[in-house]
Amino acid sequence: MKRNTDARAGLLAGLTAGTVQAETDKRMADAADRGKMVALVPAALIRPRHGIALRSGRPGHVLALAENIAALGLLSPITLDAHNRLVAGQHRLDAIKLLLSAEAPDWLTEGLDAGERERLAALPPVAELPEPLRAGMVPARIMIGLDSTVDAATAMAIEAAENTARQQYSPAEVRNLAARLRSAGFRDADGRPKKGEKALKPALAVVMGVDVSTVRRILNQPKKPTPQDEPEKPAQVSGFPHHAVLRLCRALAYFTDLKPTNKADADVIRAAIVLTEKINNLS
Amino acid sequence: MWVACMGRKGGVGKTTAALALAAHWTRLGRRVVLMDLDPQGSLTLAAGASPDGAALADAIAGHGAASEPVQTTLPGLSILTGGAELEGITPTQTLRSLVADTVADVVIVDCPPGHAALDRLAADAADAVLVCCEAHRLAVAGAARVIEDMRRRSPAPAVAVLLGRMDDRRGLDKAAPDLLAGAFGVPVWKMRQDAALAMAMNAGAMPPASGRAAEDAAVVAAWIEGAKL
Repeated sequence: MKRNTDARAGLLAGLTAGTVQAETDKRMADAADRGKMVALVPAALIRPRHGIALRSGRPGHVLALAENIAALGLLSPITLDAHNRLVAGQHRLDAIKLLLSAEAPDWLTEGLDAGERERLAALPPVAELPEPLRAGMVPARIMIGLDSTVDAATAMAIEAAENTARQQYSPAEVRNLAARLRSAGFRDADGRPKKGEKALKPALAVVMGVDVSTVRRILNQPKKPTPQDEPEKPAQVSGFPHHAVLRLCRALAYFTDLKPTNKADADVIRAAIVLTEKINNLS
Repeated sequence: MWVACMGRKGGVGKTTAALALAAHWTRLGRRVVLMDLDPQGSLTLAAGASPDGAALADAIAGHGAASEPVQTTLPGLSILTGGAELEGITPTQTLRSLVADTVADVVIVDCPPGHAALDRLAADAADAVLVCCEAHRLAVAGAARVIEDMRRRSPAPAVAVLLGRMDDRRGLDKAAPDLLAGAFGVPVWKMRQDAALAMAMNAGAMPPASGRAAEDAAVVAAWIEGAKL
């Protein structure tokens, strides 16, 4: 009898303990909400930054960001204060405005070279942008308790922190981003990109906020073989049985994943990539 | 209709409740979509789907649209798998924006243990929240945290406690529903221990159409439908 009574008392003690913990949960949730409310804000309602920007406008960087955002969407939300005034993400906002407007601003076009102007002209129309940008909406982290015109020091600290903090991407995520960029027309070629060409590795470097050599190193890392890494149904290539094309693609995948140590290897790897693409285009 | 199974503590029957309810509504001819918000992917595994699709995690973070729910090995049941990436996610999209109303009559969200942010994301979408619990002090503490969280919401979803693995031969199990209903101030339902259900989940099979768990799931489902309508 006493054992039963004790057990019931134990249940109620658990309830009391949980209710006390819930108070801490609430405080933590409130704090998290203040710092991290992410919402979709109409681009037209976003107000310019108060005061002087920490970094000056870079037309080439804005163009590269616009190409990435058009292909991948906005991966990191911009930051606004409680009154929709920009706190961090000037370049990302410039890039979004460029994508949403019919005409590029003078400060941007004047800062681009001939090749970059060709890329500018090739940016997709609004109707081809990923959601929610297509609808003119911008993902934004809103600092609910902040008025950047009053508390400029906090606003600048947030901007500085955002500029130095970079999201860490795993090799798998980098390869996934690379695949998405390739399918959006970015090219894998090494060396200086030709005029008007959208080069993959510099674009990835912009997305990740790292230099191109880091991107190259990650992409050249051998992949752990998994069943999903097998060529995706490469094939109905007319005149050849399926299993033959599959084996050929597996062999090519071995070469595309190699790390080049000299020019001859690099040539083989490039040939393997080109052949794989051709086979995929055939099917 | 959106139903979320939460509990904050692990091992209190969230996934079991989600599957038992899904089986009940599927048998009634409803189109049921499961949504696995647990980075462990337990519901995904239990439903016989592959846990490596991280489409839901990406979509919640705003990195693209959610893919279509995939068919599980359980007849008539499809699932949106979450992925391990849910662990450290910063949600930018609501769950309701990821599933078209035309795809499902009922969406059942299985929440992870110990992840208040994902619980809240599910609560934003839910018409009804089932707080899964056992007649055990630690489980009751977890349930109390969830109930307090739900009470503060506006609008608040319909909330009930579901006591799992119940055995009326045990004195405490017999007393717990009334005791906790009084203490929590919300309806308390129970799902009795059912070996057939446990075996079906182990086998990756559909929960049985009859038996204790099926009867109890029908009672809970009726409450959810009443609460929603």
